[in-house]
Amino acid sequence: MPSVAFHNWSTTRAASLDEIESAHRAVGGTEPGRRHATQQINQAYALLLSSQFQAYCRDLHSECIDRMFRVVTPGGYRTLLADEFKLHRKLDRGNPNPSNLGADFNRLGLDFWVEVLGADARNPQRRRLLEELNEWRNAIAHHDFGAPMLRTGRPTLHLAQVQNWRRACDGLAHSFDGVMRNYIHRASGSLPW
Amino acid sequence: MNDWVMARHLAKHPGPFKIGDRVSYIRGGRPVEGVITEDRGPLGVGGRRIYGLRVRFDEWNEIETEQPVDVLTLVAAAPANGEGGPSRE
Repeated sequence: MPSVAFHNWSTTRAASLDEIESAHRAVGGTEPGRRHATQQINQAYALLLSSQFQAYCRDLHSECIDRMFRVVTPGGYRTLLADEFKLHRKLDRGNPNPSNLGADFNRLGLDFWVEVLGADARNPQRRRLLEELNEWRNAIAHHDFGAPMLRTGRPTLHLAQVQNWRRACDGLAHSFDGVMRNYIHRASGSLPW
Repeated sequence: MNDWVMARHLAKHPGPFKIGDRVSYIRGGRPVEGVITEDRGPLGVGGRRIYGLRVRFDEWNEIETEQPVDVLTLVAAAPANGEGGPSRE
């Protein structure tokens, strides 16, 4: 059984992302205007993918804290600990880039990326793709595109690229769920989910 | 958090508190008060609901945190046009 966060990622959050892919397909025709419209949709898709992945990671972090500290007594210390571990959480404000993810999850006591990279041989490449997604996310949000993002002077993002990032996020989400499950099991002796 | 990014089932199955409600909980032996800023959904142990809240300790110290529903007590319900509610405009 996965975490609630991973269940939501693979159901409701996936459905939201599927809707924007449907919007891409719904823009039919062969006129030059179509390419312009689909470019806007591709950029919106990248932004939403980063946003949904951030929400998933934040959910997983909250879920881990609740499970790690549920055994602390008295309850007044449990709430105090929860406050401390959520204080200045980078995922509350920043992108779900590898640096922010490592900073937040490392505070729970594990070497997050070492464990994630060791969990699946494809994860180093997925982490690189996650960095790329967040570079594009920032470029789109701030309208500040680097030269490699431009083709004939315009930012160009293909649907296949966003789909590739989404597959990477799917793989990482699965690994994060497993890594945190195993870590809490090792630390507490009981399975969190 | 963007309201549209929240899981849709949260809107269909609201919890006991709403955004803007003033609540209290015991923190390190003394009660503190905060304002609900976000319904995080059933992320807690056994599916218990987690809420995001803003706690202001004094004029200079404020934190944003999360606590499960079972430690929170309602102090005052949000006014009709309560603070912090998401906008769909």
